[in-house]
Order: sequence, then C-alpha cells, then structure tokens
Amino acid sequence: MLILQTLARHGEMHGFEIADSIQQLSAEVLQVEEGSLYPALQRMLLKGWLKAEWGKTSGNRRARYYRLSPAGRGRLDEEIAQYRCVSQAIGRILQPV
Amino acid sequence: MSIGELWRRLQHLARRDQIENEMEEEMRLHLELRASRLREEGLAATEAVYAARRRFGNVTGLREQSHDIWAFRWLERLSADVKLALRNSRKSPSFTLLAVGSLSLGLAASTAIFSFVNAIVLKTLPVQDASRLVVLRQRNETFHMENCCFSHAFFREFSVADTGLDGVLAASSNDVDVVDGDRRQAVTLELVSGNYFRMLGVRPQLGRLLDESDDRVENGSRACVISDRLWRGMFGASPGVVGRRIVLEKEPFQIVGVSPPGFEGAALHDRRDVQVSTAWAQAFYGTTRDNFRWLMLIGRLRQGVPLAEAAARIDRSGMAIERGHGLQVSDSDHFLLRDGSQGFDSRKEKLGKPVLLLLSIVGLVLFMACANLAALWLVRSLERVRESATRVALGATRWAIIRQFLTQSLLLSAASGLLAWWMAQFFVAGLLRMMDTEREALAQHVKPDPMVLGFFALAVIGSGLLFGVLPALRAWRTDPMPLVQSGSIHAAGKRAGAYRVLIAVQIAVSVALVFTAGLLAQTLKNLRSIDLGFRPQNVVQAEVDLGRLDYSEASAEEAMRNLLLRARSLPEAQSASLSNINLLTGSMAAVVVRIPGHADAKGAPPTSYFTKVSSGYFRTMGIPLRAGSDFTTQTRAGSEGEVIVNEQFARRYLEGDPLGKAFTYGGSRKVRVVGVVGTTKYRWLREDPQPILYVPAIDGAFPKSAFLQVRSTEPPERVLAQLRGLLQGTDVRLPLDRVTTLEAQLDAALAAERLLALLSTALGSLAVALAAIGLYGVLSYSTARRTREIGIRVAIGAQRGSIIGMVLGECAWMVIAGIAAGLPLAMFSGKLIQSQLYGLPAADLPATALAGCFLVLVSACAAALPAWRATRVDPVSALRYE
Repeated sequence: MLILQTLARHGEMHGFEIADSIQQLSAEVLQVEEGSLYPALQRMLLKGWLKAEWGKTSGNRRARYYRLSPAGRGRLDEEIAQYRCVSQAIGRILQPV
Repeated sequence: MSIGELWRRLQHLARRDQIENEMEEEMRLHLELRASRLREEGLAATEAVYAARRRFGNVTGLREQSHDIWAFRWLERLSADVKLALRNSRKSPSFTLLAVGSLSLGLAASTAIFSFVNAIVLKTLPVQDASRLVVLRQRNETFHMENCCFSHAFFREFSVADTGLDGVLAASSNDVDVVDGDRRQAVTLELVSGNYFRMLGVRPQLGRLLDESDDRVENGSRACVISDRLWRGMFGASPGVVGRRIVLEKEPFQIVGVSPPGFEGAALHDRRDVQVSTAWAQAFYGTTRDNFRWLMLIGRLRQGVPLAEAAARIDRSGMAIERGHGLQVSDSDHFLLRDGSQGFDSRKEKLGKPVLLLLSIVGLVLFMACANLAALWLVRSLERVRESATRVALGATRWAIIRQFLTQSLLLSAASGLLAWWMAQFFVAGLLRMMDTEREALAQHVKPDPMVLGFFALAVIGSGLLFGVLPALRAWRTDPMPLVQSGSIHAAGKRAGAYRVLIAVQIAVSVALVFTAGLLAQTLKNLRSIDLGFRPQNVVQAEVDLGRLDYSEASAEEAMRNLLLRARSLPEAQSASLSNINLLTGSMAAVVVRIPGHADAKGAPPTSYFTKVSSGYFRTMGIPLRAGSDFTTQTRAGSEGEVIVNEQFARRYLEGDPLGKAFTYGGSRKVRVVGVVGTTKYRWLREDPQPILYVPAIDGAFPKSAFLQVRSTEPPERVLAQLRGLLQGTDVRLPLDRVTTLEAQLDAALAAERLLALLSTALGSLAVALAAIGLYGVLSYSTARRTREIGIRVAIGAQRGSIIGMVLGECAWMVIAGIAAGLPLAMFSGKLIQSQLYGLPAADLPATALAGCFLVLVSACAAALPAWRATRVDPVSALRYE
C-alpha cells in the first residue's frame, strides 16, 4: 500500500527514490531492509499493478522507473478503503473512556 | 492465476537472462545511490558502501526471491530432474537399453492384445444403450443345441406378449450380390423387421430408414437402406443415391436412405451393408416368412426388470406361443437370454476367453519386466546410496529424491512407450494374420480408439511408477548418519533385501508362465494329432454357390453335374465329389431318425448328423468304407432310398449286421443301409464320435450350393489353380476366394489355439529370459560389491569351490523361494485355463515339476558367469583398492 501510495503521489519513480521517499515521509519510523522493496515491486509487476520503463536519472544513470497502472490505482483505492475501515474500528475501540 | 499474469510469466520465461541482468543493475544503482547519500552525510567512502549493503539486506537472496516470484518453479524443477535423469540414463547404457527393450516389448505386446480384447470383448454395437440388448435363443433338447431362429409368426406374437422387454426386433442375414448396372459387389444383406432401426435408435445420414410400413405386406415395399461403407465404396458418397435402383438376388430394390457411419447391421463382428424388410423372405429364402425358423431376435431389457425375471416371463410366453402354433415343445426347451450388446454372431463367446487369457499372460510379463527393472535398479542404487546420503545430508528433501527416481523411471517408460506404440501396429497386423478366418470380422475393430489409447497411457505410466517406486522408497529411507559418521555406507546395503524378493517373484511367475505355455502347446499338438477319420492331405475344396446367381433348379443341377464331371477329368485329379456340408467349420445338418426300439427315456427319437454326398465322396475324403459299398452314379432316389451310415451310427442305433437294415428319417423317408464308413469328426475337432447319416445327392437331388472336393496326386497348388479355372469356366460370377485346401481350412479352425500356443510360448520365453537377466544382473552387482570380502577370503585361503558356493548360495535362496511359490501358482493357472485345454489334466504334477526344473536350469546358467567371475578375483588388487 505504501509503495502504491507513494507512486500515486509522485507519478514515476525508480527504486531508490521510492525507498527514500517512504523512509522520509514516515520520518524514519518504518525501518525495513531496503532491498525487500525489490521483490515487492516484482510481485506488483506480476500482478499488473505497476508499469516499468527504463529511463535516465538526474545523474544520467540508467534506471527503471515505475508508475501505477489503472489496475494498480484500483487496488490502491481498495486498500485505502480497507485500511480506513480497520483504523476507524481500532480508533473506536481505543476511544478514551 | 489470471490470464494476464500467465502471459507476463511466460514473457518473463522467454527473456529470463535479460531480466536477471536488469534486476542486478537496478539493485546496484540503489546501492551506489545510497552509498553516495551516506557519503554526503559524512561517512568514509568504504564505510558508506558497507552501510549501504547493511541497509539493503542480502542481495543474492533478494534476487532469488524476486526470481521465484516470476518463475514456474515446478517447471524448472522438472527440467532439472529430467536433465539429471537423462544424464543418469546415459551413464548406464546397459540398464537403459534393457529397460527400454523389455518395457517397449511388454508395452507393445499388451497394447496389441488389448486392441483385440477391446474389439472382441469390450466394444458394443454403435446403437442407443447397447448394454441392455439381449439375444433370444431356445434350447433344443432333441439335438442338444441352441436354437437361434424363429419364424416371423412367432416374432409377431412374441413382440406383443408379456416379456419384460421394451421391444423386440428380428433380423436375418444372407450373402448376396448388389448389382448396380453392370457393377456387382458381394455384400451381406440383412432382412429386418419394421421396428429395427427405431428400436436400435439409429438415425439416417441421408434419406430415411426402414419402418413398420415397409414390413407390413409381403413382397410390398421395395425399399432398402445401405451402409455408409457401401455408399462410399460403391456409390462414391453421391448424395443422389437416394432413389437409385439396385438389384439384390434378381429383385429390384430402391435405395431410400443411408445409415450413419459406423453402423453396419445388428452384428458388431459382421458387416451387413444392406437392409431390406423381412417381407422379402420369399425372394432370398424361397419361402414365405411365416413358414420357417429363420429370424434371430434381439430384445431390449426394460429398465428395472432384472434379467432373471425377464427370462422367466419370456420362457412362459415363448412356450405358450409355440404350443399355440401346434409345435411340439418339450418342457426343457427353455428360452434363453444371451448378451446382445454386440448384436448377433458375436465372437465374444468363441474368442473372448483366449484373448483375455493372452492379456493376463502379457500383463504378467509386463509386470515381470517392471519387477526385473526394479530389482536391478535397487541393486544399483545400493551403489549410489552414497550419493543419496550425501544429497540428504546436504539438505535435499526426501521428496526431491523420490521425485528424481520417479522422473527417471517415467522418462524410461515414456521413451519405451513411444517405441511400443510404433511396434504395436506391427503386432496387431501379425495377430490379425494369425486370426485367419476372423481377420475380416475383426480388422475394422482393432484400430486404435480412445479405449486402447487410455489403456496404453495407463500401462506406460503404471509401469513407470511400478519399477520406479521401490528404488525411490529405498532412497527415501536413506539415512545419512553412517556416511557422516564413518565416511563409509556399505553397511546400509545389507538390509536391502527387496530385490531378492523381486527376483523370487519373477521366478515364480516364470514357472507359471512356462507351465501354461507348455499346456497350451501340448493342447495344440493333441488337437493336431486327433484322428479326423478322413485324410485332408492333397484335397482341394471349392464352395460353389449357384443359389445366389440366377439359376433355375434345372440349370443349377445341370451346371453342378457338369462341374463335377469336369473336376473328375482334371489331369491331376484322383477323384472328385460333392457334398452339402463343410466339415469342421461348425456347419451342420441334423435329422430325426426313427428306428424301432430306439428312443430316449422321455420318448424323444434319436437324432443324427446328416450329409448329402455324391458318389466318390468317401474316396475323395479318404474315409474308409468298412462294409457294403459306396453310392454309384446309378444310385436312384427311390421309394426305399439307399443310405450309408458311419460306424458310430451303426454302433448306437443298429444292432447286429447294419447292412440292409431299414429305418425312416426326417418326416417319413424310408431308407435302407447299403454301406458303413469310418466315423469322422463332423462339426468340431473336440467333439465325441457322432452318428452321421449319408444320403446320395444324385440325380434330382443335387443341391444348388455345395462343396466340391478334388483329391489329387500332385501338390495342391496346381489343383487350386485348375479348380479356379473350372469355376470361371462354369460362371464368371462365382467367387474364387472360396477355393482352398482342406489342410488350410483345418489350420484356420485351429487359429485360436495356435495363436494361444504360439503367443504363450513366446511370452513364456520372454518371461524366462527376463528372469535370467534379472538374476544375472543382481548376482553380478552383488558379487562386484563383495569383491573386497572375496579378496580377503581368497587371501586367507578359501578354495574356489567355497567361493562358487557362496555366490550360488545367494542365488539358490531366491530360486528356491521362487520355485516354491511358482509350483502352486502354476497348478492354479492350469486350473484357470482348463476350458482352453484338450486331452490334458490341468494340474499335472510331473509337468509342473518339469517347468520348475527348467527354471532351475536357467537360473543355474544365469548364475554361472557371476560365480566364475568371483573365483577370478585377484586378492592383491582387491585389497589394494581400498
């Protein structure tokens, strides 16, 4: 969901940018192995949620840029809806007495 | 998995290497970018690289993880297994060769024989719900046989009687020529009741089929239906065939329709290409349809009515109808229901048992081939136990090891299967040739169909699993500990005795198969040496059927007499004659004879077989004249006709001197015995001596269709040609393929027995060869494994004899166990095939023992070479090797 959301916000990004962006936005709270991003990206490519194209970075390096496909956008909406649902439920339970 | 996903996966598979490279590049970029970021944050250059790596995680692991997402894991695993299996097979060419050789032979033979089982036993008429069809018969107490046929009057009443059947149809077949303009083709015609097609649920592919309206009035509707085969063969599949006029037996008919492809009459093993209604009995049989018993009946069992109940109701109704017709019916002349799923004239009764027997034999041989390979593989895998143990120790799952064994065995069986499918076609062709007279009936049914294909696939996969599963299980039990502890794993082999059991099983099965083959071969020999009562050597016989052609009574008689005269004047001919019965083909005629003082307990009159012969018949056939004289050309059929009887007749019915004795036969023909001849076999080879009555076919009594025999001094080939010439000279329309030597005809009568004897011998030999190879292989491996032990024994002074004894001792255990199990198995199989035997006790202890001894001998030969090799072990090199 995080990857999808990041791509939805920024459009096209390559792997490093995604990882970086997630870390910065979460204010370094979410610390995971950066590499595990890649199998996740591959899984999403397989599912057809992402499209990938090779392009050039600002430093003129070859890099693979990912962006959301329509299917991926649909999936994101679904996940967000689901997340809201769950978080509202949790929120109600945790209401101060 | 969605379609899009599958498509992306396949794309990935196609450009796998490229994608791997891209992945690597992507990860490298990430690492570099992270490192440079860290450097900007103030880390040292080398420290930054390490930190970037730490934050990224296990690069190789992640790459594999990404790869696994895409790949067809099972496909890759399979291809790895197949590669390994191929490499293993290449590394042991002798085992691979033996496996492919024995499996493909076994698979081809079983597929070929299954084709016949399918054609003879499993297939049913291509009609609606054939499994509920029954054929009606009636027991005939007087003649000790089964009546097949009923009159049309009986059929009409029976079809509306209380029978528990959903419908009854009637049909009869007759060989005729179809004449279309100046073209002529011999076909089998079927005269059928009006409900025939409706009841069978057959629909026309062109025009219409026959119905009740065609069958109502005698000699009314001239409609006929032709088969798809005839339509294509004779009429070029022309759609304009409906309405065409053809001539059958001098009567013009009009084709009204074509039956669907595959349907060739209500007889699976017969080809009936034309159907007309029973209303035409007069045209094809010379008398009206109510006048004689000529129709066979097929009924359809009503759903929910058990066979026994239907049979009881049919018996009651049938008897009542026959008594209503004023027929004399004995209470024991029961009506019987026979399996009708193959229609009339099914070969199941005659050939079903032999082919099923062959299938079980060939199945056993295939099973043996699998056991053999399993045993050899087990022994070999003992040598490879180190490899298995290493793999297990290195973390291979047991399932991976089993999978690898099964992949190899299935690969071998699949390769053998390919070869076998090709070979099976030749086996089928060869078997068909051996079937002789049945060839035509079966040829169209033995072609591969889904059933045969299914059996074949099952046999291939089954045999692959069968011989792979034991070695796989053995490997599965591999315990890596001994290897880890001592580096040596020889001890593990000692416990693996499974291969010894497999060899013993093979020897047991071989004993049974050899014994069975011996019984069947001896049966054939016994049948061949039966005293026929006549001498078939140098006799040529032609079937002359003028009844089918447009001859009047007088002209047929004239032609027949001329033919006989010309046959007698052939240069090579010693004698020639005519008769109305073809011996030993099952054809027969029987009459009731009335002799004072002879009637059975229930008052039924005695019966006798009956043959009409011309003068010279006994000389031509080589039947000895015991008393009196042959008919002469001057014999007249007077009020008190002359007859000749055989010895059996005289012994049974005529006391004292039979010559001159008078009696009546048939209705009230008074006859006097003028001669007595030796007793011959009549219908079947296996029958007991039967009384036969010979009446003269001389003047006014020549049959329209008869068998012409010529005895010659010369080898029969030339006479065959001359006789064909004579037939052509008489009438060009006479078929020439019905001219044959009597010996060839007798051979044909023994086709099934010969087939059984030959194939069981061949398969028995194959079984023994397999057992011998298996024993040899197993002993070779085990002596090779014990080389060191033997070396030590020799070094400390063991004699040659004791070494040989050691090897033979190992072998003896398997052989003795095998034979001990084989003897009762052989006795049992002898009992099973008792109905196929002739002149032999089924459980013959000395013969069984002989089969056992044979196996002992073969085993000894197989063991000799490994034993000899064991004695040649050089102790020095054997010990130095370790």
